[in-house]
Amino acid sequence: MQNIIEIIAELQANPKNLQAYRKIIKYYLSHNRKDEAEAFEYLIEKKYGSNNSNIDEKQ
Amino acid sequence: MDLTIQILTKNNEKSINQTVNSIKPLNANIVINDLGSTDNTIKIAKSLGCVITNYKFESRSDIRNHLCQQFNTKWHMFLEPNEYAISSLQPIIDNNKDICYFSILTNNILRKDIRLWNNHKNIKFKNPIFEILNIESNDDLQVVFCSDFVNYNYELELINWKKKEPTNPIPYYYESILALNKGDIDTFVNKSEYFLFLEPKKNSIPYVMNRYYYALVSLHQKQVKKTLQNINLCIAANSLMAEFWCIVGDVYYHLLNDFDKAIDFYENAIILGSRRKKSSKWPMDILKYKEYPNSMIESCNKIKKNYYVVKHLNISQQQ
Repeated sequence: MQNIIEIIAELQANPKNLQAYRKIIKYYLSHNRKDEAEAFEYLIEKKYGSNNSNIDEKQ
Repeated sequence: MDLTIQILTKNNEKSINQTVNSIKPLNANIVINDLGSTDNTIKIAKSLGCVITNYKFESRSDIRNHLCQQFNTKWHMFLEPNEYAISSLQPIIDNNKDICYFSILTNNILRKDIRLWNNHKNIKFKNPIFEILNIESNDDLQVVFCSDFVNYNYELELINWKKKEPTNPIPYYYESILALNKGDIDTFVNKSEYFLFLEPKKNSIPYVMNRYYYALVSLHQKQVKKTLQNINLCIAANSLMAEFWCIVGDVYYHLLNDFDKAIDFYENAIILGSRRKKSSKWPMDILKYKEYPNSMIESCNKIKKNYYVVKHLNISQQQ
């Protein structure tokens, strides 16, 4: 799994990168940081809407 | 209430009245340990009914630990002579937890400090200056004190501290913060480098906040790479701090003029900042949690709109 700093750097280059946000959620879930994972899920929902599963394909 | 409130003073005649009066509702034993005032501090404290002591040890922690032994009340609390309550003190009276944090507001920064503890639990202070209780807790009292910033000169004490504990990173942290408050950026950078190198806990609050201040300094020095490197580490440690995302937004706004990306990061600040837990022990720049990112998004949209109008006019003129 990618280092969190690398994922954040990836996000900084492209803040619309939904994949990077998902990687962050995965990272937090695997490190037992549930609050942060939920916060990023909330962020995805706010920024991309609840029906965001098909956005990855466009990216 | 079975409570002693400790205040260490030295020439605080301008603020001691406000401090003591703000805690009067607690009906506590207020102990002023004076460290050599030459102004009216003691006279004012006496007139307010405080107990005056003059214990003088090399370390402020030793003085506070001694006060804990001398005044054997169940509860002890400590304040600085430039702090005063700005919220109801009822949670202190109702409290039944052994160790409690208070919120301390200095300018726009709200930080949490352990200030109330059960004195029968034998909890000790540490550090010769900038003393803190050598324990952690999760209990938070909804009590807010305002702290007027006072630029104490602790130069000599810091030198002695470093001599005694040469591998302790914390004196370097305080040196860097004092330098930053004075606007001495070169010293801030120098001391921060020492601190960041020596501090073993790379996710500790002092480590991450020092990185944050370093990022702020780098932003003002228009160093894109250094700002982003520092703030990345902060976000990695705590991604729910709005102020960290605001800095990334600021880099894209002020230094790279990429307003679309800046909006994204300011939005992250608002959304993720809203998920920050109230019980978080991290200091909080309260302005960065609503006003600032919202106003920056507004500003980005205005710039984008003006840019579009100018571009459109140029095309029309060329035609």
